[in-house]
Amino acid sequence: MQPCKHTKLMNYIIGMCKKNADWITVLSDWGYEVQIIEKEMHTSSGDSVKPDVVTASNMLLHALVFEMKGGISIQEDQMKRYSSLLPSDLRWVTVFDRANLQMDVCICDFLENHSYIKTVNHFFPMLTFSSDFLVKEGNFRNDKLNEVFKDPISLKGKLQPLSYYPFSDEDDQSYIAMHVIRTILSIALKNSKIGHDLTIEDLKNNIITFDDVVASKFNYVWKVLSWEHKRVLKSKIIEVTKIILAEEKIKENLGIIQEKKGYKITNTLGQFQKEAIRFIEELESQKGQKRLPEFPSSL
Amino acid sequence: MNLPDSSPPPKFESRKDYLEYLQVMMITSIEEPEETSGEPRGRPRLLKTYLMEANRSLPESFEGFDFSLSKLETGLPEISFLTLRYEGKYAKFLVDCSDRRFWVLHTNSLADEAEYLFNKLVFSPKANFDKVWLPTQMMQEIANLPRNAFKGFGLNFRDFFELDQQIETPVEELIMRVTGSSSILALKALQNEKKLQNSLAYSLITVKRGDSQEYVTDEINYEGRFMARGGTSIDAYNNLIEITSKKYKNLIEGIERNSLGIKEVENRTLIKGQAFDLNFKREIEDISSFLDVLVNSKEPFRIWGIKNKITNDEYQVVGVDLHTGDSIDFEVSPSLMRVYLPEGSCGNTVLRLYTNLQHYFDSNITLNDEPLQVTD
Repeated sequence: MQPCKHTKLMNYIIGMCKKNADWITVLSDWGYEVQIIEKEMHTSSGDSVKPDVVTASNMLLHALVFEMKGGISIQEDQMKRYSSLLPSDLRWVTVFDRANLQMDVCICDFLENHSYIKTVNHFFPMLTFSSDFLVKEGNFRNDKLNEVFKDPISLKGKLQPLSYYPFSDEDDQSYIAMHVIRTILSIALKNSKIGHDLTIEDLKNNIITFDDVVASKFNYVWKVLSWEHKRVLKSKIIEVTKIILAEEKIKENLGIIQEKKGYKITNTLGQFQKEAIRFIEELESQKGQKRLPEFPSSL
Repeated sequence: MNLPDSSPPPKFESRKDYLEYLQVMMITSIEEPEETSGEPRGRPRLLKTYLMEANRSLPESFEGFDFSLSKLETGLPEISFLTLRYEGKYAKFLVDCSDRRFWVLHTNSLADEAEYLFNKLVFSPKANFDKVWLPTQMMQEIANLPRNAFKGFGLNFRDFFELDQQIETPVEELIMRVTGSSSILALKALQNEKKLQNSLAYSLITVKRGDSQEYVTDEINYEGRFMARGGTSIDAYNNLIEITSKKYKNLIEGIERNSLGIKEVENRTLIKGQAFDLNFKREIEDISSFLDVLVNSKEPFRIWGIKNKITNDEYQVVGVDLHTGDSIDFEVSPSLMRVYLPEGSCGNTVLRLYTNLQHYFDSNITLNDEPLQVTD
């Protein structure tokens, strides 16, 4: 089961701003930090854009504005709007000397879509991921960046980061379900530890009517997602939760895990794990089929 | 002097009273002849001290515990007298909660019973308690402190990840106990043996602290238990516990400062923190089977998880730390485990994982490519 390509690209770029072993650290090495995710910005010319990620470096006084293209949905109009974006429009970005901040818009894509994406992107440098390399095309305004990306960067033996940005509304139900099931278990256990034994019905209501605090338990970057993304993602999480909590065996095991006073819940946790995997595999195998509408909207 | 078997508990008017009481507990047990006949282990009445992590206050009631717990006051607000009972076993502890997060539990109850009931307390699914998990490097640092002399060590390595499926017992293990002033030479000899290099995780160390007059000979195990094997000074004994607690706390807090979260820093909204890299010297041959053991909810790791294959050499795990109920995610390659700890989660999760991997997979594991290095 793979995360969607958008989720992958988000993780790759955020991961490049961290110092983890076995991943590319060039942005982190030059002081880039992730400052903004999915925030709409108005340009001086009156247009608006919503970059996926904005990173900025105090060391280089430079911001990188990333637009992720996991698929082939790219429009000339969007590229034109980006071309009117100026450093002064990055009002949400903090650097020590804003007056001298430079910026580049950068388009990220995968090799399989690259030839199409570049026919539409006439303006901006691109970072393209394949299974073996990260390759730059075009030039940044900053020479250091041009230097670090001058040669293809090998991805051989690297471990791709996937959990800095856990999932998005573009991910498959099965991938979202994996995170939702885990979070349901976490909420149940944490409640149990503070003496709040919720019934399955309470648990379901707690999750289905979730607020931002509960949402952050599903996806810790929730707070910075755009309003529109939150709306779609919330409805996906609720749908998946309803399906999960309609599964009798999952419900039964979860009930035992929650209410058990003693220590002997290891077997039940094992059963819960098996049922969770079976359920996720079932969802994965039904990918592309219209399973959701067949389920009742309320339980 | 033993802790009283029945009420009233000891009463203290000052810290001085309390420390003098501990001093007597320590000295009398050391001076008593060995109790071997009819007792579960030799010299069971020695002063033993457990360091533990608490994310809640000591409960007043018994609700939710499958053992009985009684807590009595001692006259000092930070010191309680705790009795734990379960199926005919009992153990008594003086609990020092001066540090609200890292508690110190002294006892001279029988060793096996104290251990059993302490485990019941810290592993209770209804509580947010945990042991401290001392990595081998930290134990070596403690042994090397000024005024300490290294007097011995124990090794306990069992390969949980090469299980014979038929009998479910580890096929590779190394258990050893070496004592005496030349222990360090024995350790160096073992370190030079290539086949043993991934298996040298301290289960315990013996350290003498102090001078020839005022000293303690202390045995410290990797689960945070101290035992006064000999000596004259409760001050030296407590000092070693305090130093260990402080080092451990600093490390945990360093880990927690790096946990992942959305934070406002100087008007910037940042994805703060980063994943921890656990680097292995020993390659994981079969990641899928490795993860089956790691996330099967059982001791010692106590992690529940769903594994997801990304490529032949890359897996992802979405999991829950069963000690705390916190989320924890991993990515695993043959030589690296990247651990994501969300903000608000307990840093002890990372050290429990790290320390147990030392004992059950690879004693040469490193954190962020350095022994116990946490990058701020």
